[in-house]
Amino acid sequence: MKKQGLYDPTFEHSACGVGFVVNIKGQKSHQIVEDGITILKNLVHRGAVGGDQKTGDGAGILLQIPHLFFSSQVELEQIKLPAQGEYGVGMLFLPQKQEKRKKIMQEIQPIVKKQGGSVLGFRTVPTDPSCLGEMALESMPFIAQIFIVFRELTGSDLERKLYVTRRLLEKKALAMRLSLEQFSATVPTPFLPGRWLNPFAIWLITERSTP
Amino acid sequence: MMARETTLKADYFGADIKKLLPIINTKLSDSGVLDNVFELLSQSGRSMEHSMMMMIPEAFGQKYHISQDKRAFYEYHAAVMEPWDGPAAVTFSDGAKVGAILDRNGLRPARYIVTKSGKFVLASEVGVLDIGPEDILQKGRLAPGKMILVDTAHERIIYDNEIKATISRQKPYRRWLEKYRIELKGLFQAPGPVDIEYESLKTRQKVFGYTLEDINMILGPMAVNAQEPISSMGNDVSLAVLCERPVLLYNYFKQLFAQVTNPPIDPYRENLVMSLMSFIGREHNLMDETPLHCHQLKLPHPILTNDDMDKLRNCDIDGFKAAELPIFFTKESGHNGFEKALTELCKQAEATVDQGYSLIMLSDRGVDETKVPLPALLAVSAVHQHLIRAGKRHLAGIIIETGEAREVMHFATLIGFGASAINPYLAFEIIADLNKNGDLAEDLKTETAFDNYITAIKKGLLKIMSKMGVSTIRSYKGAQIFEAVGLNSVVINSYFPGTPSRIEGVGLETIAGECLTRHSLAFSADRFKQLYLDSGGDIHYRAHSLNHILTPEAVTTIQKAVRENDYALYKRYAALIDDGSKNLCTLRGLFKFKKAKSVPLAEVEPAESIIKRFVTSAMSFGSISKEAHETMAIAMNRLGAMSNSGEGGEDESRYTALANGDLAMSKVKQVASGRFGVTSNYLVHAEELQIKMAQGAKPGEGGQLPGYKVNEIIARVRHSTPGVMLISPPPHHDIYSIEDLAQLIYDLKNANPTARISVKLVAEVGVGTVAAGVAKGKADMVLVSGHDGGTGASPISSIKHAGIPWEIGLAETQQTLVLNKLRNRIRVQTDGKLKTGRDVVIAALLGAEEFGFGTMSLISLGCIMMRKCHLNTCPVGVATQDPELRKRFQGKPEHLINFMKFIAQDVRELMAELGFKTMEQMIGHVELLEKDSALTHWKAKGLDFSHIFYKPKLSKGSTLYCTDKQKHDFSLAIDRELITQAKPALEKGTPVKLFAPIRNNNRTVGATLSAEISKRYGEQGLGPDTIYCKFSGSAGQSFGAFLAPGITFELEGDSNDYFGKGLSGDKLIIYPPRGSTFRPQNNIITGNVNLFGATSGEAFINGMAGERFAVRNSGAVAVVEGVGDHACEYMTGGIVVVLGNTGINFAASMSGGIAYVLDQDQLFDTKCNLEMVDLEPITAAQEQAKLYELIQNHVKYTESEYAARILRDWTEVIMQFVKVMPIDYRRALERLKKQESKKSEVVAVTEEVFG
Repeated sequence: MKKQGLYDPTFEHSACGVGFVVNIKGQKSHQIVEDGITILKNLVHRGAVGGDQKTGDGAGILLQIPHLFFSSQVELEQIKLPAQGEYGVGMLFLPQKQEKRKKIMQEIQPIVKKQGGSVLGFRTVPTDPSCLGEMALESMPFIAQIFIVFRELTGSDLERKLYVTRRLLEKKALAMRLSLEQFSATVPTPFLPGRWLNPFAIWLITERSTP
Repeated sequence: MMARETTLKADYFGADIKKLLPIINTKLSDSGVLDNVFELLSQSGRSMEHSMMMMIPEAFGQKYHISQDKRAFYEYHAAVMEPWDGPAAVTFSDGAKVGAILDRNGLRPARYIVTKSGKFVLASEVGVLDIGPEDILQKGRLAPGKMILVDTAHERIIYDNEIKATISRQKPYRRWLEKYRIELKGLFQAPGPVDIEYESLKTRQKVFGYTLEDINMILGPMAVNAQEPISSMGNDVSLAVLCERPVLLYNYFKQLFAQVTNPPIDPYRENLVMSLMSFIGREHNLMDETPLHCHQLKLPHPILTNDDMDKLRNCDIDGFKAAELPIFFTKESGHNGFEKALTELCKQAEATVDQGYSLIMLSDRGVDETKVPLPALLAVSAVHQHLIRAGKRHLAGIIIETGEAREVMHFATLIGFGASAINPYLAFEIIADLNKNGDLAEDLKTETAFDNYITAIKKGLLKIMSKMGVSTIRSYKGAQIFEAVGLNSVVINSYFPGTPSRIEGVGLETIAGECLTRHSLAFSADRFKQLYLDSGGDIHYRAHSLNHILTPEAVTTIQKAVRENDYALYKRYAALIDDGSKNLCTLRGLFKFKKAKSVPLAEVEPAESIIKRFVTSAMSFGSISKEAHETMAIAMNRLGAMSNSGEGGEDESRYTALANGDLAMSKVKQVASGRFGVTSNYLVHAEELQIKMAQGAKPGEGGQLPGYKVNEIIARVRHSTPGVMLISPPPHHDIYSIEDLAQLIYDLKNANPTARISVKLVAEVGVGTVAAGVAKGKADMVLVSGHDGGTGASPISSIKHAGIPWEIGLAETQQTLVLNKLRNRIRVQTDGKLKTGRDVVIAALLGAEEFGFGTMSLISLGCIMMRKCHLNTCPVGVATQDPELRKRFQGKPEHLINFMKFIAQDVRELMAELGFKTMEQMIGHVELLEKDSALTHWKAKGLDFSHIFYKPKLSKGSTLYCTDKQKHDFSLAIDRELITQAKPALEKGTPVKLFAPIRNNNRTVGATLSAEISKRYGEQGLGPDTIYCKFSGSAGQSFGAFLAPGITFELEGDSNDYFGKGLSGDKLIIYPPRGSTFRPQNNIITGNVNLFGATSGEAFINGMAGERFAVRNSGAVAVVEGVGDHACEYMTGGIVVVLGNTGINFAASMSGGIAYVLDQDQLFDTKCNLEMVDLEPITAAQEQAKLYELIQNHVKYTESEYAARILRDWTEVIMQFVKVMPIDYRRALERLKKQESKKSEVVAVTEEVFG
């Protein structure tokens, strides 16, 4: 909501409950993800609910890049994924309207390119809006994932490049918002270790891969 | 942080670094910003752990027994960047490592479990993932300031000590500090004598706007008592912008304070986390680490003496040079010259920095007939902001030498807007002069007076910081934690950018005018004007001085009116108050009703129904007399309205009607941070339960009832000991954030399902958002109090400088609730010096549907505003506990009833004029208000109320007032089931045994069951163990909250925070699941803040508890096998037995009760806060036997092997126990024993006892 009268959205705060679960030996398994979701569900009472009695103030989980999962999914959209650890994945919150979305996606390509990277492709994240309250629905973005590579870069070099690129994209989003006023809730954000999550985004994904 | 972006250079990024700027996205929340910086630090070569240690350092003051290398690490990094303050439990990960850290105050819960099968689970609550007891290896929690890390690459858990030792030794930080840190010789040593320039003393006092009140009531007391002076009642003088006389610029600012979003800190009892130390000088590249990074001057605190200034001026250290810049404009140059001088000053400052100076000393020494000083605050902020814009702020520190600064607020604003240190040279001179004339105390050395004054300022600064939850001056500096009231946007944008200022106001020209007026009076040809100081009148009413809205004339008129039931006389009083032209004190004084189509008075809602919307504001029994408190309750009950108990319990006898049918029960029961007398029975006897988050006169602060005010009856209702001082902590120890507030609302709703729940907030910028959180937390009503509310005692600076008028806060609340479609489900109340029907109508139009009267209720009952509440010498028996003075109380219920009727009648007349037949129709119709432009003067003319009068569009689903009820979800509450099963016990007292599985989302178990008992059987409850209930699993928060006598809960499993909150009878037993293999005494079984505000009953805990065990306990008996930091804090009664380790700051501010601690390593005294307690051996056989019995019970109920072993070795172990005995309590017990007559003495009080 925009600033008006004495109301100023910069004073908004979120409620909090945190948790993580990890296998100390680093063994990956789907069970860990399930455990994460269980933790989240059992902390529901620490979140807040808005005027429509349904819209929460945000919750989500962060996990390592599910490379195997992506390898199987992304193929559907004709993207050739490099090996694990050689690419980054970002979450994009985009406008629902197609033309607007297209315009923004066109803006993304040259920025990534200028940094020496290339966009492998996008993936539309499946969503189930039926669980949403009207306030969340009003501001629900189109959720997509972007896959990026920087030639041979891996590890922390890749991360740093992705970090710089994300900052540029964020700035671009802010700039566009000012001029076009079209991103009420659609700032394309996290690329890297993730943070704010929308109530409906189940995934939030880091680009970081682990050996 | 933003100021230091230009320092950023990093090999890792090369030219890319510029692309990252700005690092901080100001649109993000606090955690978003934290994320931004963490990302930058950890992407540029520092490990995640290192970055976290920089950003969220644990406290490292001398009181902590920690590694020297680690202390050096933290000190070194203090010169590199400021820490993040405020409560945080942060988790972080890079895919290979995952970790978590807790801030220094450790208020957020973070519990973890390590399993034998190799899993590590950490979460805000325990029990979020089901894990079999046999698989559990360890159960722990993050302690304050601690970190934990799981390194999946190395397949191990790394604990705090190892992480920090490694990081602290990766570079020779300690050597670097020793070599490069600058500590000027002789700096900050005992102050020497000060030269008083007598000739110009008076003149300078006038130039800097001193009044006699400043000198005699502020400076004098600080120099003698080493603390800020205390006053009482509320603020009723004009806002700075409405004051026709020149006002210092500081007064246009109001301190912000924490409410709900983060907790205030207790700067005295928890002062070990507080720090005034900072570094000043040239900062270096944040991305790098070199020895030169700490080549800065270390300031232990920000107050410099005149000697210190000389040393700084003359210091000659390579790379550390000081430049002096005078801050004046000339009298002739007038207003234009003022702005030019500022611009010139900024340019000079920048040039100085360019020349390599690393210290800028702004100074207003040398005032003369032509040189007029710029306001110090403006000069500091202008230079600070200019250097930020130029990207050079990090290159030099700012010191201000000024004759202006005298009271704590001045120092706080100067630091908050960018100064690193302040030299108040004129204040020192005045103190020296006072002492020379013998106006201070006898035999007081001037040097000591200086020391006292500096101490008072330091304490005051800590208090102001802690109100906002800030613990270090490094994060306070430049943080601008203020709101401006009455400065226009040109001034704000140019010199105070980012500071909220919402009603416009004066511009630079007026500020210049104020300086010139003071100056010309000081150099006036008229000897009288030149020599005599203004008497002030800021605090007490003085004829011909500052406007006070409650003039003696108004007070006597209304008292006569209510006594004689004379409405005409009331109207005369109302005319006095409402006449803005004579009495421009409040914002609403400048409001005007628009013309509207009137309706006949007869058609307007009757007074009787309007009165039901009126309440008396919270006043505790303790701050006011029994007579006054009960009279108020009776009056309101007769009217069918409600009175408020205030904090401090209520005598059970008041729950029964008197012979004449009157009821003296307060229908609103307050739940404040002290939780005095908050039992199940207290909560059940209420129609409204009010959570007090803040109080208008001292938001963000605690309170204190001095021992001599605690007579037998007060002690009884507060469940404490007569004569023992009672302290209300600044924070509610069960509300550290909004989800905790929602939890307390849920607790109270369970403890009394028929009462409505309200939350009291104080107006400040952002209060609307907090109110929205309160609505989402399912409160039924939110109260927005104005800054001018009254108090029994509070530091003067809090009364005057914190909070804003309710007009702004209420309007913001209404707008925010309407915009967020929340207004339909929450009612809004306001209070803060409401005095007439006009005030009520304005509040209704701004969005309130209920109205509170505090000061006016007292005045109706005879209060004559002597402002002596804090002295116990109230001459009219209202605010005193002195039996002789209480006899003078003349108030009758009829007086208050008449007052309320007059107000309602006045409201009706205005409603008729405005065309409203019902109150509901009127609520939120702010479009009927406008600014009265006829009423303005030179300063008020710039005010713009359009934001206050803004009416958001009503979209579908939003309303202007409350139309619905909150929908509470009790689907996971298991009490209903328990109540059904306990029917035989509840109805006939037949014992029952129950069993129930439990998990973390079953919260507040036991509260509603207890309510059923209290409703039927009162305070006394049922016989022991009548309802015996066994649970198994991980209990949710507030397990056993407000448990009534007759209920025993046995829990096999573990529990989350607030275990046994408000325990008011019988037993809580908890032990790990049978089949667990870990040692309970080394593992966390219950969370933080156990037994908070417990009044009676017992708890047996087979394992360790988290932080703040038994905080504010006033009667429960507990046995536990280990506790975290701050155990037994503010305890006033009961017994706590700790069979194992304790954390630090044990028994801080413990004024009653006894603790027994098994001190195996004989180091307990290093962890105990010894200020108010003594440690003693347990020698008396009787006492030994009693302790043995308690532990025996513990073994009996929990089957603790560890405790059984202690009993086996009893003769060996008993002498290792220490007894923690509060000094006050021992004295009180001795006194009780001797049955001394306790005629209350009148003692000069200092409300706050400083540590």
